[in-house]
Amino acid sequence: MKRAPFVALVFLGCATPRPEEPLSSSVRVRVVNGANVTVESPIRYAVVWTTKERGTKGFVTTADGPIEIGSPTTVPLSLPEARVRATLDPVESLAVTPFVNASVYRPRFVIYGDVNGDEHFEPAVLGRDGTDSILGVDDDFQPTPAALLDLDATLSRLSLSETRAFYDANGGRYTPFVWAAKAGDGLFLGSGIEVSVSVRDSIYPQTDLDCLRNVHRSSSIGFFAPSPPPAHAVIDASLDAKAVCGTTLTDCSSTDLSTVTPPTFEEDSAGDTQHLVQCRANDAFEFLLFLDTRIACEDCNCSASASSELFVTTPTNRPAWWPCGSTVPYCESSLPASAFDQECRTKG
Amino acid sequence: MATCGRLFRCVASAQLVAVTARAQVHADGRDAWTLLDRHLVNRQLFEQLHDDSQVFRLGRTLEPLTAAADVRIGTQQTFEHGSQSRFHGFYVLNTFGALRPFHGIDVNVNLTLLNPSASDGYRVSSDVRAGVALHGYYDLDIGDREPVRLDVFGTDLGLVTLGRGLLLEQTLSEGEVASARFHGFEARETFIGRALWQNDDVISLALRGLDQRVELSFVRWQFREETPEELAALRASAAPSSSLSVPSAQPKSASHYVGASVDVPFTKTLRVAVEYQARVGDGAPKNAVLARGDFLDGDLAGIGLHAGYQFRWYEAGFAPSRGLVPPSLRYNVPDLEDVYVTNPFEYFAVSDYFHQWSHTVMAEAIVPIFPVLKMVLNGEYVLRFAADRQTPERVVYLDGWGLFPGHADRLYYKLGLRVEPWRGFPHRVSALVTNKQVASGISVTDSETRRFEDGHFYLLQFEAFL
Repeated sequence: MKRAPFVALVFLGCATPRPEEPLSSSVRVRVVNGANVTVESPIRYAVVWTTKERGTKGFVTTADGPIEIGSPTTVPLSLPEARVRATLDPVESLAVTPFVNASVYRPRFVIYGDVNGDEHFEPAVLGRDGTDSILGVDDDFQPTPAALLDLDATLSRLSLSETRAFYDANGGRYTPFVWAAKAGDGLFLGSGIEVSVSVRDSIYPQTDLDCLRNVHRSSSIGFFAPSPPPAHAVIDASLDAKAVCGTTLTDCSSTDLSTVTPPTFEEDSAGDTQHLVQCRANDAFEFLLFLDTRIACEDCNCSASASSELFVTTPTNRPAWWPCGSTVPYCESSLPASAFDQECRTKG
Repeated sequence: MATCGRLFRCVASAQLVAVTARAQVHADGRDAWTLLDRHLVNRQLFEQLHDDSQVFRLGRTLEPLTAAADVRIGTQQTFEHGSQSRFHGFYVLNTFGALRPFHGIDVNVNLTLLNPSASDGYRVSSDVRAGVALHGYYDLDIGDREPVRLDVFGTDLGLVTLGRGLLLEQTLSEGEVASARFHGFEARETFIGRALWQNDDVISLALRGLDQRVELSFVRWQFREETPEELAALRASAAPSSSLSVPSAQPKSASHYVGASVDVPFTKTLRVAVEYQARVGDGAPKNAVLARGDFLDGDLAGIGLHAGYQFRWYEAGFAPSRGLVPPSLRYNVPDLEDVYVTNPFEYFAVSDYFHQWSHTVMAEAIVPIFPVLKMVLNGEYVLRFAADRQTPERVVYLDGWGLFPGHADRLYYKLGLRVEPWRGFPHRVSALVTNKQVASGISVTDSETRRFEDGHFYLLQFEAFL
């Protein structure tokens, strides 16, 4: 070793570099299309950091790229600049240890349809006026990466053993990105391999993004909302309507089904408004049940509503348009005929 | 006037060494090149008390017994809104006793009574800690004009230093030491039952020559598996588990060191020491170096003065521990404030990640102002560096020093006035300001990963030496 640099090394310590900024990271993202949504425009991902400054919502993206349904894609993770970090919203508290909590932000993994083809995430939420469609956003039901907003401060509060465990968990990298899992109202260190984002034809992902993770959901919300008792039962004129409806079907009418124009038999289960059809039968009657559900979101409150219509006839009096057994298979179920059987639908 | 000046200096120098037992103690782990107080050692008490500097001891002439006691009481407060350290309204009574039934066996007992805090209530925190050192020594006649001197003692080893302090320095230890000395050469074996980690043992073999000036050494630093009782105690004292919690004990393993050191006194007041150690047997050797120079004059125109410098280099991975498991001490008493901050203890915690080096300047002065009044000035300036051995670098926070890699410096000081009103006796009252107070838990035997508290304190102390 040459003498001058060695002397400098020894006395001035000029070879003690410390990273000025934490390192970036990456995560695998997988797009799931369980609802068989048809997407016209190219699908892309965006890593979105939502902000709120003086009441005005906004966002920045730190990564944006193409992605295919089903194939995991490695997505880069990096912190936005300090000016943006100061306005991130929501900032959450992560329990790094039972005694150390740290402020974190969980970036949103957005799958969007690039409607205008400019390869740039421009939606119609978060203060923007774009045309890109939000197909899916990460959710709270899986661990996702979170960014420690002040990594040095967090490390300063960890014991040496905890610091070592921190580096063991992230491959020895000085990076603020850790896996975080939601449990109740708290965030805890978790572990993960990839982030799955489901695409759906629904207003919910864009609401979730626009509402900065603060969506109030009614307890009944879901994509298979339980069906309430039918709002309306139509009994064929050949039958005794009162006997068929009994006391459970209060809105009950009798008519010649051959003269009725029924609802469409085509099912639509991809979006927020769903139209489902089910046929049931017993020894005496045949039942045709239509279920319509709808998820509506307004001002960060999302709720589900449902209604159904039941047609009842006998095997010998089926009208010409009756689809059961042809376009709509029969469903075997132990539930009352007026109750839509979700399991039966899933098997069919 | 001249007579008055000579008398002044005479008294001053006697007072200066009054509480520094400078008798030759075998395997003495204390730092001989400092003006910080050197406390009695729990062996060879007869020899220590018969030194001219200990004439005031009441128990010098009680053969076959001898006894001594150092007692101090003190109160400590903080500047501004800092927190007091554990020893803030305290007494420490350090008693030493030895029985020598005949030349060849000493039974040494050190009984330390203490109460770190009067604030805890009447005698609530009073404690008694005992150490026993059975010392056997034998002159083996092999026909030469000089016999082979054989020594064995344990279990109270007091302060232990291996080599010149690169690997282990002034660490209170229990274990055993056995040695053979002949014509200025010495072969010494040391076993320490618990050095710096809960489940460690240290075994050292050293060969010294040329009147202790040169040493070759081999050290095995091993970690044994915890016994079920130790594991249960660790779990009981550990924090609740978290995803970032790791056990504090090291896995069963051993590290081996080979090294050499020299200590060259150029004059009675000036010396240079150098030590090199290499951790071997685990891939490429990991090296460490200590270089130290000291000037010490106890009576430089009446003033006691020490000025020293030391450089240390520890290559990453040198420490015997793996990972970032900090060393700890299990006996934390105010006497440890008379050990320099610069110590292997301060480097081993992050050794697995970083290369480390440091420059330390030590200085002490005892300046007589009047025959009964002295000014005490102690300072230790440490400038330390750390560089990660991997890229990209990792960042670690080291308690008391900040974030590494990088560099940090600290100045430790103890300044004040000391009054010794009883002429010829070293009993004293001191008023001091300092930022170097021992870190101790509720009990002095609580495991501590810091040696000193962080803060600025002022201290009033009354000490008597019996």
